[in-house]
Amino acid sequence: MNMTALLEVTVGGVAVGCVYSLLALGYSMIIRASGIIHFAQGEVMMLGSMCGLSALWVAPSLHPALVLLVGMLAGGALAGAMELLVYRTLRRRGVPLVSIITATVGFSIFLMNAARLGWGSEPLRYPDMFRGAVEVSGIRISPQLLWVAASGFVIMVALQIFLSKTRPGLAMQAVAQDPDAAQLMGVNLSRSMAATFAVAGAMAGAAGVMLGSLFFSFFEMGFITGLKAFVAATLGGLGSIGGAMLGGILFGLIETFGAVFISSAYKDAIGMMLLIAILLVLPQGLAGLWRRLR
Amino acid sequence: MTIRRRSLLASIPFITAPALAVAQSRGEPLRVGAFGPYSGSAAAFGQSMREGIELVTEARNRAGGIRGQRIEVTFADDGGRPEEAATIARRFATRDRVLLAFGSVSSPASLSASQVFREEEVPQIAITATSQRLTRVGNEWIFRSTVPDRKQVADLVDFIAERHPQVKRFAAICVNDDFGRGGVEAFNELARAKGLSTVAEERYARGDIDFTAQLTRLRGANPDAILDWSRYTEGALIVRQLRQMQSNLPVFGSDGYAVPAYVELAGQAAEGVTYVTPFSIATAASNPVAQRLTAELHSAHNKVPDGTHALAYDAANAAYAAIERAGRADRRAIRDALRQTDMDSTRGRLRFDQTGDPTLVSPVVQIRNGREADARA
Repeated sequence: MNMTALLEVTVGGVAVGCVYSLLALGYSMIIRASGIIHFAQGEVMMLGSMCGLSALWVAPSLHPALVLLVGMLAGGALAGAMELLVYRTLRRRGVPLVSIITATVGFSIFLMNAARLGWGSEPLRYPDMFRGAVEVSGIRISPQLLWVAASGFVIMVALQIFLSKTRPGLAMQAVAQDPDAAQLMGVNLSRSMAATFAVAGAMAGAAGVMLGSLFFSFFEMGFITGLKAFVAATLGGLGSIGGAMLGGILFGLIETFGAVFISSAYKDAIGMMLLIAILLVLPQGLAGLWRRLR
Repeated sequence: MTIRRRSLLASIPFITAPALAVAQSRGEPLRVGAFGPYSGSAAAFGQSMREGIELVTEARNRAGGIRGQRIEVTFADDGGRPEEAATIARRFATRDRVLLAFGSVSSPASLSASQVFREEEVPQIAITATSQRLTRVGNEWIFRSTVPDRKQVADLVDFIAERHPQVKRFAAICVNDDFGRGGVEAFNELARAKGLSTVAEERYARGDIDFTAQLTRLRGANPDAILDWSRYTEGALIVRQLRQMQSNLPVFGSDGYAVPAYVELAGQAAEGVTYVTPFSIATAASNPVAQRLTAELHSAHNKVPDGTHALAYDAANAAYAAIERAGRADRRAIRDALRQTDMDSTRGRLRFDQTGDPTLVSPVVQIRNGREADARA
């Protein structure tokens, strides 16, 4: 393999990895705060993608950053509403956690069908937001891939700043670590929980716009991608923010390089086998390794 | 025309009458059946098939039917499922007592129905089912409107050898199922005879969206062109990702591209892509039968004909002509008359060979300015 191909595959793997990372972040944040494995996360991503695309239909010259913002707002509003209208009520009624997780699967199927009703069952193409190619030391790279990788990094850095420097972010962290203590310190638990879902949904919405612009928007796009992102979150260590970011990018790279060097027809199987192997060695995922090293 | 309701009389088990000589006296309609996926993921194909058959049937009935008898088509939805198709075939043969059946769209559904029709001795014309096997099992009751897959590959190989003699080394990518693997295997075999070679081969799972790895490996083999045996969704992604990798390699594809959604999804990247197709309005512009179909479909449904419309239209025309030539409502006579078919179709002179396949050469088209154009022109 020559340098050009190596760079192309690496950038491709990182770009897809960023999408997994953003989704994995949502899984991890929600699990840490509420214990819920939010299986509808992939569909929140899909609807973010659809809304970003619809914004482009209305305003074809919309700046890519604004399209991303539309996706984030849509994803955030949707996930926040799901928490406020359904999950919160279920928790208050004392529904067991396992049943709430089952409800998230129900939401996933419902949202998929709602999207099919609204946007049809055929894949939809994002208009080209970029043209030409970017040259990196003589090697030409698709601007789509660079854009996805760059926005992924920016959003993840922004999330870190939000969680560690702002009051609502700190409140979310506090609720995740010890809800009772946080409440005693004056944190509004149910508002903070809704905010966690909304931020997780916004991450998913951003991932949807990225994935849509790389490939297609499709009512079923959230299913397998959501599953892989969940695997990435597990790889990073469920509940760990840093682990989710790293796990996503690592999973994207493993998948792409596995397909290049081992077998492309069975790429999904390779990714999953590697996950099982890694968990056998590192039961707590990458986050566990990090804690052990410290 | 609506799906015919189950009448009281027809629901009485049909025991005593012989299966072959189905009595349909003057005044009573001539019954034929048409089964396809009118629901589910392939419903668009089923819809086109139905429209094509309806156009021919309505025109015939307006002109007095066949020897004064009206034609009545019973439509049945197989949902693309082979087991449903077999049930429908049995019902068509025994309860509806059809003289002939059209269907289906997919190869598995057509194949499973064909076993029943063979047993019940009902002539069947498959519409878009391209699987070679369908007509290669010694079944004398099967005909097909589309050109089978292997012949399509052969037509594409001939085209490449004639028109692109400088393209010798192919890198092949295909979906990892019967359609994809079958296409590439046939290509490998037929291309070798013409001095072409396949220097790399990659597969992917149906529904994959990221083909970076496969395309990287294919390009590493330094080919002259890419051969892609995919359906349109994956095919559109493959050509887009190939162009994103700044590759200008020519792409030759399968009839899986032959739907308007392919160009819609691939956008600018589709320019210059060449593929084989059972029917293209681009190559049939001067064909009078295709012109008639275009006009009729426009006035009835305000649509432009797709491949399935044309294949169904040709099948219905051939079938009604055969029923007329047979001179009586007898399935065996109709089958023998079908075998003698020699008529103008939307795709040129239509005849059936001994296996029941049409003896037509597939059009090869190239995307130019976002539309199909005759690649041989």
